[in-house]
Amino acid sequence: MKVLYYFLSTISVLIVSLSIQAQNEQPLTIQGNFQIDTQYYNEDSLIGAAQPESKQGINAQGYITLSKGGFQVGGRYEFYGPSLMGYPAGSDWKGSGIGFRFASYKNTDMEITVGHFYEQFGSGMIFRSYNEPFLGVDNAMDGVRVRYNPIKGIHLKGVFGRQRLAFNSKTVLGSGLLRGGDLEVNINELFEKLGAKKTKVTLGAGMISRYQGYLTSDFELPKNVAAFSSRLDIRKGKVGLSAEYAYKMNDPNNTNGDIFKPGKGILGSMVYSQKGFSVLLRGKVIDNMSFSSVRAPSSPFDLNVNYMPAITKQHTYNLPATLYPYATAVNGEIGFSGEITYKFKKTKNAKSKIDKLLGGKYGTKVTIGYTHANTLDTTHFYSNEASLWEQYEVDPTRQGYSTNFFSMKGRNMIKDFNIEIAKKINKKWKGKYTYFNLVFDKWLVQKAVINDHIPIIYADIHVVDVSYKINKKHNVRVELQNLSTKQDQGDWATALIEYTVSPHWFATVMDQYNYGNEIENQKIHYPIISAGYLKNSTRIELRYGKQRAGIFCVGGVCREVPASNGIALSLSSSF
Amino acid sequence: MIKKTIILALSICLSTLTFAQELSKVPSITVKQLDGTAVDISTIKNDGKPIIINFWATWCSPCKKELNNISELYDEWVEETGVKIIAVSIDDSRSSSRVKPYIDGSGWDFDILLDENSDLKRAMGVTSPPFTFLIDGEGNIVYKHVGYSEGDEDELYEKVLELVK
Repeated sequence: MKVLYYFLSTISVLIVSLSIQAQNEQPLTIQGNFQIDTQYYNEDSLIGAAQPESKQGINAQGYITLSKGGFQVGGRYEFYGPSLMGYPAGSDWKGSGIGFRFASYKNTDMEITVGHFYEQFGSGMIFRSYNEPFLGVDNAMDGVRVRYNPIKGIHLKGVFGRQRLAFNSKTVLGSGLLRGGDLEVNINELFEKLGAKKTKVTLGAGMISRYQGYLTSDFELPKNVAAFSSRLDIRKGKVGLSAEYAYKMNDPNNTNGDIFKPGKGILGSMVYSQKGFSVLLRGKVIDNMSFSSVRAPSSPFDLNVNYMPAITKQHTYNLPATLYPYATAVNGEIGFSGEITYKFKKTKNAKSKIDKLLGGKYGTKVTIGYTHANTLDTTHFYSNEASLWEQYEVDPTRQGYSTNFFSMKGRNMIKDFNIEIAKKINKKWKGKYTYFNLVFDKWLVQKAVINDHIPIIYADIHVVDVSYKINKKHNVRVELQNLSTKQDQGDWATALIEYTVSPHWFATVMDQYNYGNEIENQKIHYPIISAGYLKNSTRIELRYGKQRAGIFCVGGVCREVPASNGIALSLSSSF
Repeated sequence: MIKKTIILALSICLSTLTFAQELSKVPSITVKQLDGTAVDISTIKNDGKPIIINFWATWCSPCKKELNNISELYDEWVEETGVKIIAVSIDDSRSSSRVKPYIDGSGWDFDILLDENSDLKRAMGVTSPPFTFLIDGEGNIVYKHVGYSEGDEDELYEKVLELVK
């Protein structure tokens, strides 16, 4: 007892003195958050919703960091009891324990982190480790990271470690070891003379290498595979230009048919932008760029070393966003996209009706976008049925196929035209109309996850979104969406009513209806009702209803979500 | 006696910890400005006047609604209180090139920062966007808010006014 007493007093004296000192100089800062999502599942055979044996699922995470001066320690506790259905995106997360922990120290020119960390080189084309908790994607590195700025304008990064594969009461790491470095040079910071120049130039180059030993295969596999990238970013006032080129050495793996062909990728964007008007153009070619820290990942979401940003717009309305979303085809894609935004100015003394309609007191904003992506124009050297000997005879270096790199002759995967008109009419009324025209080869894009062949989908989507402010605190918003197509599941409609009372309450009722389905008993309604309470950084939401099977995307990554029927509760808080 | 001392010691511990927590500051994390230069967010000052840090993304509808609504009031807010708004985009490389066209197209006058791999978002304990922090003149975080409903900007502005009183 006495020992305990002395121990506790010592600890408390320590903490107290630390805190007092902290208040004098650098304070001890504690920040973090909690997120709990739980659902009870009903069986609903009509929509294909299953009830798991446990009847319920729960994901809970708590993330805490303590910082004092340049020191920081942090960790994340995770609990899955069991995890929500369809979660995470890749390999299982189960049990409870510490899924992320790190310590770091930082002074003016150097930062060292040991433990888990997230990092990215350039746009991520050769390396990005990141966490998207709502999707269940987490490829955190466990190892060491150093960031060093030897002189102004030069930023160096070095990473060593292995990636998170799964969670089984602790982090399960993939077997491949990653080593890499990145250099970024900001020309205007580096040369004092150029500091005030209007043209800003940033250059960058990165390298990452994977080592995986103990390989068994029909082929003599490279145990070390490296990827390189270089990038450029130039801005002058209203104009900006950026480009990145990536190259991956031979990396025979289970997504490219064990070929020794190197991977290549180019990503470029041009922007002209001024108040009220902007144009954005982007282009991309990617060939054989899937890169995982093991040769044979069991899911496309596991152990990704790199991240290939899609150039399609991430739609926010649920029919265009979740029925036919597009994510990059990492092993072969050529595409471009453009977007123009124009804001009609306010017109105080409008002469004509048109001026009054487009201008008025608040102006009108119009956005027009188009995206086009094809498969690469390739010639395969042998058919999938050819024996290894036959393959060897025609293709001794096992390149698999040849690529006509900038040719658009491949098969079209997506064409996405969209136009959005947003208008605030007066202090009370706001409206937005959006039209989408989609041509989507769902089978080609998602053949990894769907079995049945689906003809190319041609869809028109109209969305009307109207918001009415009843008074300072009360607001009602109505959203009507219609998707018409003759393919896939036919026509869909969504209606949503949202009522909010600022700053604490919200309630929504939504129904999705597959009214055009050819199969009579599949003309199903998917109603969902939800309500919630918000206060400061805390959010509580209760939801009940049917959720159709679909694709759920955050940022550039999408995962499949199974159909469900049940009641769900979400709670999150930050401190 | 011993029990009492332990309880006392523990409560002192807890109270100092809570006290320290109330002094939460903006962490020292490097983010990018639109011209590509890196900046440590903890070094951004506003001459002793309040700063609002708002986390948003081009794919987040309520975020855009919130900042568009505030944008209409921003001139007024700056004039009355000197408050500065920093809109931190958590768009990753898929959509970060869309940030500048979007803010220009919307006519925003906020300071814009890019947090492409969510380093700052994690360090500040942000759950999901939109997420707003109010920082007083000494750099202390005095108010946080998650989500956005029409009219929330009034509550935020009341908190700003309390600071400059």
